[in-house]
Amino acid sequence: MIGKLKDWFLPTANNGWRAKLLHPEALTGLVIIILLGQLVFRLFPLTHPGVLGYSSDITPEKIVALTNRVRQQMGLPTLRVNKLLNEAARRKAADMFAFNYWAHVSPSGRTPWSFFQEVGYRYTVAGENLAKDFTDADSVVQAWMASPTHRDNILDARFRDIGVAVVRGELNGVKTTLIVQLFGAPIGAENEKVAAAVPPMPKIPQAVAGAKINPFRVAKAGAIFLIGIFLGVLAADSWFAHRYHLYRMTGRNAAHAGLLLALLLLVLLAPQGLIY
Amino acid sequence: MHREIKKYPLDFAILFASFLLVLVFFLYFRFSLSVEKRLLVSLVSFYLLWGIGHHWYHRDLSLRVLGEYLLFAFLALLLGWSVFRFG
Repeated sequence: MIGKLKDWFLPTANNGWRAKLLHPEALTGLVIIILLGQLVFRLFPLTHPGVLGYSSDITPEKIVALTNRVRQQMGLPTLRVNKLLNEAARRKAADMFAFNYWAHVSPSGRTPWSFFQEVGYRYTVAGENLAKDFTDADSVVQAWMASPTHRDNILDARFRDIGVAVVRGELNGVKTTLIVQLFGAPIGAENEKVAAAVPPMPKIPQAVAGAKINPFRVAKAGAIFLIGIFLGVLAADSWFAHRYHLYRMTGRNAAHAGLLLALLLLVLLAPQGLIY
Repeated sequence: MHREIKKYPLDFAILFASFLLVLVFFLYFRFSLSVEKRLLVSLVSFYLLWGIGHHWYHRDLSLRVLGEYLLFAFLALLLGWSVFRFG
């Protein structure tokens, strides 16, 4: 039993002095297993909606405060929270959940600006930042600031108003938190009159959604585990080849290990949460 | 591994420099899913091209070696993709 297990991870006479895990047959098998695993992971939310998901404690107030803090640091005026923009952001988030998409333009071609018009916010310039799957408000604003286009929106000196919605729901069967941040520069004082007529925004539940499994963490842990095993097997293979002067017609272990190390760093650095 | 690197220092310098470049770009474009995925594909593609070019140049390219690089590339792509898709 131990001998057979050894054949999978170390070069021995039984495996042609190359760990079985590095044989093309084993690699092909592993690729097929991973593909099947991914298929199961993809279909799982459809059969068990709400089990996979991301929980967070993000609130619109925190997003606004952090956005204004960044603007202040850059010597820009802070943005006023606008009821109409809050409502437009909430409607945009509701639309994304209703039609199962996450983009500036909906699959039916609906633009962000249609939500501004729908609530009666008249503007000279406007902007929209989106984010999802984040666990805290700091990371959201940091991510936006790291992206030139989102940063431009946050630091646009023309904007005067801001509206933010943080809405929890299920997108493609996965529980998540969508964050919609809208900016605008109003035309005259018309918006204030309209805003007074708009009913107050329904309270958005801020309790953490009860998702049981975080798919990002599962995928990340699985990838790190497999990369670690392969790096270990490659290191052992190289050591044996060096120690026993083995010569085999194979690829370069250093190249494989380099690729896996680079991938490991990418996976370790991969952030949870996306912006659009 | 160090024996291989010592034997082909220039080849490996090119390979590792390209990996480093991808990592630098990745740090700069974090949080953008489309860029992350493109960088992953670039990393894997360069590794594959490097493997083919390196073995072809040193006249030891065989179907088995090509298959090994293809399988490692596919494995890396699958693992990376699974993480970035849920990121």
